[in-house]
Amino acid sequence: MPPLSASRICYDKAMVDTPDSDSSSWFSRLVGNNRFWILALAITGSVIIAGFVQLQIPDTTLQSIRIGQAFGFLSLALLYLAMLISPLTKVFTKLPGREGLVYARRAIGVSAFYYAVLHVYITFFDQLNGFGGIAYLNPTYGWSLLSGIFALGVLCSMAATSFDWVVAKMGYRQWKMLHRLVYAASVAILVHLLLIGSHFANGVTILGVVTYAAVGLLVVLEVVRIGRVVLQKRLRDEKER
Amino acid sequence: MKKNGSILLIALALCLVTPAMASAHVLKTDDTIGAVLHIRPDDAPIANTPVTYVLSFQNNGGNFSLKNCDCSISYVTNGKTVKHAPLVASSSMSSENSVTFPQPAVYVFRVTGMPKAGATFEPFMLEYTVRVGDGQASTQPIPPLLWVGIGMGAALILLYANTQDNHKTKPGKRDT
Repeated sequence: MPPLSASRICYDKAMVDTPDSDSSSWFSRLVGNNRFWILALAITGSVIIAGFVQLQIPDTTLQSIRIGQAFGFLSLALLYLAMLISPLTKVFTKLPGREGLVYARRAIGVSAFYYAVLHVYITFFDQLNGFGGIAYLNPTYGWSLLSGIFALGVLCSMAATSFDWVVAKMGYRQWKMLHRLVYAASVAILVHLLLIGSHFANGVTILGVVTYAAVGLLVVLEVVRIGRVVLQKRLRDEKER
Repeated sequence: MKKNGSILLIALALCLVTPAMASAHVLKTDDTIGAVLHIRPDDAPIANTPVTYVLSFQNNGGNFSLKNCDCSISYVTNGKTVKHAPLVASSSMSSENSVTFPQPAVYVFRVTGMPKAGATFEPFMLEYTVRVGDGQASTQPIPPLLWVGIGMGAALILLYANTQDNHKTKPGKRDT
């Protein structure tokens, strides 16, 4: 039987070991769990951001636009962070707080889904008149919406299966296969951005450069990670011969 | 709880970032004709500064195109039309135009279209409300939503501080 990967070990350890708490009360377990804090911060952050934009911008249409943009950006940033944790912790095995980051990844991903839902609610239902407005959108918007809907569907299925009992019921392998759809979702999000994001469609911008650099970093780390897995497998196969 | 501290810092930093990124779009429709307005670069026009905007049309039935449409736009504020101009067609379904507003105010972009000979679409009118600013930061009272957010944030900080205190004062395995 092949040895468990580091992520599986971290996952099993996180499932077996409850976070720091000696009390058996559910409240103590809740506040001792970094996932609780991440989700609580995400919800609180969304309220603060919306209120801050309202403070800065008196015009309600522009408020809606800015809030929708902010939520979309945060969803993307949180999803990127969640995706970065895995290759980062596997390539840099001595990274401080490694176990905590792996454990927090689930909550970061769910937070990304939360902000994606808010982004869709504001941009699709408020600015684009919801389902009734689809018929009035040109093909560029149509493809952008389609890719956005696909990404949202993947994030939704990942969030819905982000419970320990679901993992146990599905089996770790099947659960992992579902969550690997995040890579397809991230490509769909890039398509969504490139089609209707002026920071990407109209020449070189700082945000565009930062985004491409971030994607490049993720790709490099994933290549290194996959390369190590392939190499380890080859070495194992050679030893067995 | 040290793990929580670093995670909290990262999450808080992310939640407080509110960049002005990407473009945003407002769709208005009139029966079978719809158009999405996007004001470049960031949907926030400023008075006495040339403003470029794009209208992307879509026709749900009929043979609308900007070539067979007598399309024009009026900029209306306080019930008065400050300017009227024909739409400039950059493609058959897209119009890119420029305008300079004389003063900060709320303007209504009123787009009207009449079919030319041979066109089969119905006359239409689309209106977009746009606030033209003066480039200065606005001052207004703190909205209720921000108070709610501040309250939630304060509650989280207090809860976190309380759990930290309990963690320090409670004898645990490490203390023995």
